[in-house]
Amino acid sequence: MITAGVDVGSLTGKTVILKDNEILAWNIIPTGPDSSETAKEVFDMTLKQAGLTMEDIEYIVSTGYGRVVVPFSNKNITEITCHAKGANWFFPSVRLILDMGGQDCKGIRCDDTGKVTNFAMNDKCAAGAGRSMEIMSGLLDTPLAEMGGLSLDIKNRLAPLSSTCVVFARTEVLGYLHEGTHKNDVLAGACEALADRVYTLLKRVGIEGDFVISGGIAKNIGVVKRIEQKVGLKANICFEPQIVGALGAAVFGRGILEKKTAKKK
Amino acid sequence: MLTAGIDAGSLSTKVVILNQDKIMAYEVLATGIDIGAATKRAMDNVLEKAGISLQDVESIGSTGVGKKKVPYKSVQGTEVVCDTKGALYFYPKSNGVIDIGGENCRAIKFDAEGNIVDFALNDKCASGTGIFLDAMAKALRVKPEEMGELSLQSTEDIEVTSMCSVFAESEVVSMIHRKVPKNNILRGIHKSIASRVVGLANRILLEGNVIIIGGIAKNIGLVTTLNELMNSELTVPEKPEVVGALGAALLARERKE
Amino acid sequence: MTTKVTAPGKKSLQTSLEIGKAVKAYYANIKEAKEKGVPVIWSYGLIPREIFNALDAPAIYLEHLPVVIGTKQLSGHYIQIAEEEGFSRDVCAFHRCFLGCAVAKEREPYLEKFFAPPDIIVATNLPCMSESKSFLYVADHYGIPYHFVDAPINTWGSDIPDYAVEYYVDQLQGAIDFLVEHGFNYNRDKLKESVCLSKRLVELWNEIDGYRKAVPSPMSSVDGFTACYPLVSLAGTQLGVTLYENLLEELKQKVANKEGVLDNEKLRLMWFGVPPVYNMGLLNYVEKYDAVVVKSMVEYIVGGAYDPSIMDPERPLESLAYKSLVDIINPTSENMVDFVVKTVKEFKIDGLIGSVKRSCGLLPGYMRLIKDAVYQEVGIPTSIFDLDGMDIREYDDVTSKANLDSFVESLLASKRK
Repeated sequence: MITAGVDVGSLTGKTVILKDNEILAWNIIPTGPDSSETAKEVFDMTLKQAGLTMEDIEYIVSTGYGRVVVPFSNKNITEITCHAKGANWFFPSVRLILDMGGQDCKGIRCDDTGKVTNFAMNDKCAAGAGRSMEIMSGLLDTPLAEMGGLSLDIKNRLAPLSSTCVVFARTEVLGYLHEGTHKNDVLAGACEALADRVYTLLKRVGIEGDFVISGGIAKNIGVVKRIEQKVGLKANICFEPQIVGALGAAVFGRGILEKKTAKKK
Repeated sequence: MLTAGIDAGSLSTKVVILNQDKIMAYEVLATGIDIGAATKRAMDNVLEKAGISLQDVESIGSTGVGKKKVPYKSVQGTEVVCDTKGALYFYPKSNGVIDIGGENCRAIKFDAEGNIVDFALNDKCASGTGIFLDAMAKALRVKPEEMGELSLQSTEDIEVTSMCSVFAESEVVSMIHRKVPKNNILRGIHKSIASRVVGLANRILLEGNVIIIGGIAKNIGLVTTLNELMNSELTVPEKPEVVGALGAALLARERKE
Repeated sequence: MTTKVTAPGKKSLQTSLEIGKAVKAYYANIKEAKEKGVPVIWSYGLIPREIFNALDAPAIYLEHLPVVIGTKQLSGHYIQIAEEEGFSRDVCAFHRCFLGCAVAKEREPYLEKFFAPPDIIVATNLPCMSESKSFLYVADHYGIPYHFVDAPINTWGSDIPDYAVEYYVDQLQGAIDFLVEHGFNYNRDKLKESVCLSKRLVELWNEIDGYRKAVPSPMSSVDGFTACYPLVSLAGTQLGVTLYENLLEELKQKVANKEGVLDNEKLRLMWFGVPPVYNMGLLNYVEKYDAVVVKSMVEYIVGGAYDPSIMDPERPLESLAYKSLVDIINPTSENMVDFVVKTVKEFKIDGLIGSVKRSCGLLPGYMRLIKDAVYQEVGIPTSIFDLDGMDIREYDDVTSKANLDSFVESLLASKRK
């Protein structure tokens, strides 16, 4: 049985192809101005990689912001539901998930089957939290991938950023840079501020059970370490934290197919 | 008398050399991380353009967020005062100015003698106009300087409702995803910024002869939209981005006299 | 927790130090009473303090505790805790601050000197409805009794009708009965005595104001912010009266010697809205322009803006009801607007600073009305800008100072001409 999940987010598009219970192929590409095309592009890439054609895929589920503009999907499901399912697939014991994407951030609680029992979204002004790392990356002229590591190597002292608002955090960062603060210290402040906001969110859903971080931010060791410290739990992170939603979508596809086949019998 | 005016903004640094009443030379460049270095570079360039040396400059005025970091002995003035002086230099009959910069926007009302009657700075959630425009240019894959022109070719009125540039960005991204034509989105973006600016101007009951300055005053799309929305005669001076720096130079000259 | 560029307010009066000590002693007494098993009441400033005096009841006023927290730059930390509990950022920052402090598992050692958990809550809808709900949450959290005092909204201006006073007297009597049920003894003579002392306190406050109108100003609003504390927590006590007598003497001396906060006073400013309690130094910031913040509205919203002649010890509850209902913070625009216009005139104010705390449901609404009224009647300009005086996380030093710089500079320029 072969199913696929397509996750069209605000910043990236992802596809996962699942054969029975095994990931055959996956891909992540940046979302272009046309999200249908992004979906198509990332889907075709993944098909090719798996050596399959469209006809081989028995069921396609789309998720993410752009889930309704994926013309070839059989069904669309919200990203909160898919994230819980995907996290449960990677780590069956998980009960608490933090998903942090480009435009928003969610805390999700789920049961042993990966069903959502409670969730909270970031409040309005913290919406650009994930985006703030990109902005910092530009301001500090540091590749995203290096930011976390550098933030753990504080040179003088952490430069505190207190604003929840991304636009104002920018101003604060510029202020520090103009004063000659070392960029690592500013990065440390940025990661700390992000971890603080995430912690607020997780407290609201309740901190309990095995913990998973998904989404792009899971790749930032500086943020992850600080969240772990605040939450008091070790974070489980799968080999590619950005595909958790797409994987969850594919898993849903498989479930739907299984039900259909069962009915036929 | 030769005087210089420096406007050390968060995004760009401007320097103007004034010979009596005439602008001899000016320079605009990106501020970057080091305000002091940017100012020095801009000053060196402008001196070279004017064919003079620093010793020839009798007095220097400075304004902008970085005015305290300027590596020259200077008379400091707030942006509100320098904008007013600069606007009156170009248009002695004006009675108000709107300055739209990268991070901030302000509206100032003054009387015929140049006394400031009232002013308003954008509120917290409406900041980041210039940066927002840059980000949108990138998202729509158009050149920042072409945005205004393109926005005038719109075929349909659409609205970007969010005040906050972070949210407005998501709004626009979703429009891009929905395949709304570029020109229409651009028109929506300009209208949204213009309505914020008008809100600011209305707060101080600004009307009459109003000058629009700041880097964004070069954007024809925004100026056109502002003209539609405001009950004032809006004028864009020749070099809208250096009006603050010019005001600083005028301030320095006044103090010297 | 993060730190920001802040400076404590520079005070210039000896009596401010005495009042500071009285604040600490006030909280120490409450903690002591608590240890002896006396229930601690949490309440809000417009439930007249005199009633708690008559019941000998230790009461913490929850508009003051956040100020204590804020002045130590800890407000952001506790507000964050309240947000973790699920309180929206739109809830009043003062409330988020005390809610966070109330539910926090541990508090800074410094705060433990001030913080006593509540045993009883007496809530009110004055000046804004948020109190009742925030207090309900605290009552739930601690599992303690809650009593609500309903105050009529002032729609009459400065002339409160008898039926409104009667209604509020009943409400106050209800609060007294409720506290008696919970073991306090009510002493009517003590209430009368308290009303006498309260009357004296406000008479002194008005005399103090008389001296503060002097040019140059002998006292800035940084001292004023501390000096108004007795109006909140020491109304109806001898200590409050003594402190104000001392303050009055000190001011008399200064005015006689023509000794001002500044040697060369050029501008007199008034602050409307909550000043940044975590950075009161911002009020001193304008002094570099020879400008002094002479007065701030918060010095009055705690029960200092009424005519003391209405206080009649023989009709104690009626007097207290009247004083609460006519308070300028009771939502009627006229009283507040008239009050600010009058203050601007009498204190010879050159410019009004209006700081907007976005999570406030009450004060920002006045800004436009006040700006227009002050300009039309006195010709004085107002500068309005965002500044959350309680939540340090919202504070933006650069923008706040840019506003003040521009405003003061434009005032000076018009003055020169």
